Amino acid sequence: MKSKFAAEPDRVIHEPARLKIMSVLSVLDCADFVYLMGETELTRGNLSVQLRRLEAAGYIFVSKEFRGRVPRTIATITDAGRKAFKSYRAYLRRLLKATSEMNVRSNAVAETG
Amino acid sequence: MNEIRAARRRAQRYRFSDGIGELVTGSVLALIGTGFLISDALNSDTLRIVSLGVAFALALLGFLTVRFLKEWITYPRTGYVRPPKPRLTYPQRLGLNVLFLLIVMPFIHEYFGPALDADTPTGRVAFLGWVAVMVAPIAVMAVRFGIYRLLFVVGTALAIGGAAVLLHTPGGEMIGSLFALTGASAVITGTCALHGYLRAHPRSELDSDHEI
Repeated sequence: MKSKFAAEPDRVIHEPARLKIMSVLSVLDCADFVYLMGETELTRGNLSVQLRRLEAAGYIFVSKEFRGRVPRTIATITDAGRKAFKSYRAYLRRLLKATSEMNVRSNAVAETG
Repeated sequence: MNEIRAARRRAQRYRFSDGIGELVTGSVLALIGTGFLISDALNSDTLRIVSLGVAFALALLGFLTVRFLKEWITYPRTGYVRPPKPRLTYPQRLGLNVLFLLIVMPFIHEYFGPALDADTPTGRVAFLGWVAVMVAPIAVMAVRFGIYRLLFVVGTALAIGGAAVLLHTPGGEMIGSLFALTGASAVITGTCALHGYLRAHPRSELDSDHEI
């Protein structure tokens, strides 16, 4: 029988910094670099790297525009990204449910034993 | 999951965080109110029509000013975000359209304008109802997004509306003073919010233009 813990999470989203970015973008139309930095509390370099990873995976779309001489990097979650994030949330829910079921069973065994 | 909901809520209230919207809208309202008061004092119909035209121009200019100020003050400091547009149901859309019509009707229809005259008991009730309809969306927004300073603006509008009715102020003067003083209260709350925002996010915190 296949274990309930056998399923693998999406490695791209599973990393904490990228999970933060995806969580924020999943509830927005779009956000720029500065806003994401404030929300995720990631450093400029780290956020830059993680955005590139997510873009490479096709989970977000990054566009760059100039306001005067100031660049603005805008990130938008793609449909694939939204779907992947939804699956990831479902995975976490399943995992937590399986864990609580195991706890109930082990408590029952401890009581009878 | 609560964190995700909180992120959405923060994005929704973000547009109010700097007070720029209130400051500009309040200034426009105050100018419109002053225009009404002057045209009423001079008893000039031409000036009244000009005031109305200027009011629409100022409303458009106000919108552009808010955008410009946000580009210049807010976005470089705390960034730009666009929360998802609320998906309104058909009754909600209908309600908003009715609300809009109720608010603008006294300005565009000669029957509804005099209906707000404080000389008649019906006019007084209509005027108070009109004020309540006008500030209701602001009150809902204030409570929903937790921007409680907007309740000060709502309170001012209701107090001025009530006072104008009790003092039997003539129609034009009533609307003029309502707009001017409500606008002034919005300018006060907006200025306080902007001051707090600028203190919390000084420009010097930003280092370079490099992003990605």
